[in-house]
Amino acid sequence: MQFIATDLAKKGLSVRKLSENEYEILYKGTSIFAGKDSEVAGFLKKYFWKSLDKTTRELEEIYLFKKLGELKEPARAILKGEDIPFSNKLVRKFAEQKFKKIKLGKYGEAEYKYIWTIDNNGINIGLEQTKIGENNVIKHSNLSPKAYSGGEVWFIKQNEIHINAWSGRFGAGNNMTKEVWELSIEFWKSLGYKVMVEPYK
Amino acid sequence: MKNSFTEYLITNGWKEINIMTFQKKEKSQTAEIFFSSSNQIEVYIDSKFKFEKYLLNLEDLKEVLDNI
Repeated sequence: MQFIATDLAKKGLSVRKLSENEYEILYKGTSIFAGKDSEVAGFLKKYFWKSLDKTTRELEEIYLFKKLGELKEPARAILKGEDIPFSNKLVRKFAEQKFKKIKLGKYGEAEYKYIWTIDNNGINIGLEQTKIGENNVIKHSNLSPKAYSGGEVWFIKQNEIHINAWSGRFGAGNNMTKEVWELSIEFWKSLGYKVMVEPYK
Repeated sequence: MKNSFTEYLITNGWKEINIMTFQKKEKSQTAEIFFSSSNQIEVYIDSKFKFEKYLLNLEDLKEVLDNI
């Protein structure tokens, strides 16, 4: 029993009793799971058997989504064609590998600009200057109908990016909080990028 | 969070409503420019969408302002 408790503590997990037969699991002081004792035991068992690396990666993802809060509706009405799902978008889940077949470019160069959103699928990106329907460029709402955050990104090198919060519907234009912005940066870093950040607010 | 387009708007009397939205009252109407990205703008007159434009340089923005 002591061995199990030590292992779970090493992985950053702790348990708090909420009421009779109901508990919650904390990670970095944040509640990431709550349920009856059998459900909580099942959750803990799952992470007891996983390696420290794999556990940390999965818990960091759960923690990050908990902290991101609710998916946001677009800050402004969607115009014609802006809700067409962008079929060429690239998606990466938390801590997955870097994007492949990307155009490299300097920060600010419009033709190399990708726009990004974070939703429950992960990070979604698309080259802004891509035709979609009758529109000559895509918008953040073509990547996600709802999102936690959004902005623009340039891939400076294969392993280096420069991001900002310029999204009217999901980013700075949607009153994105500084915390959500910082969590979004962490999401990008989880893919293995060195992240240069344009100051927000 | 500024770029040359937003700085130009502020310099020319546009009021910053939030980081990506700017307003100006002219001829008894309220014009609003909403940036959906750093290059994409949508123009609204009295809250009604009028047109949008992809800005590549300041000349593009000046052309938009002339058409409002």
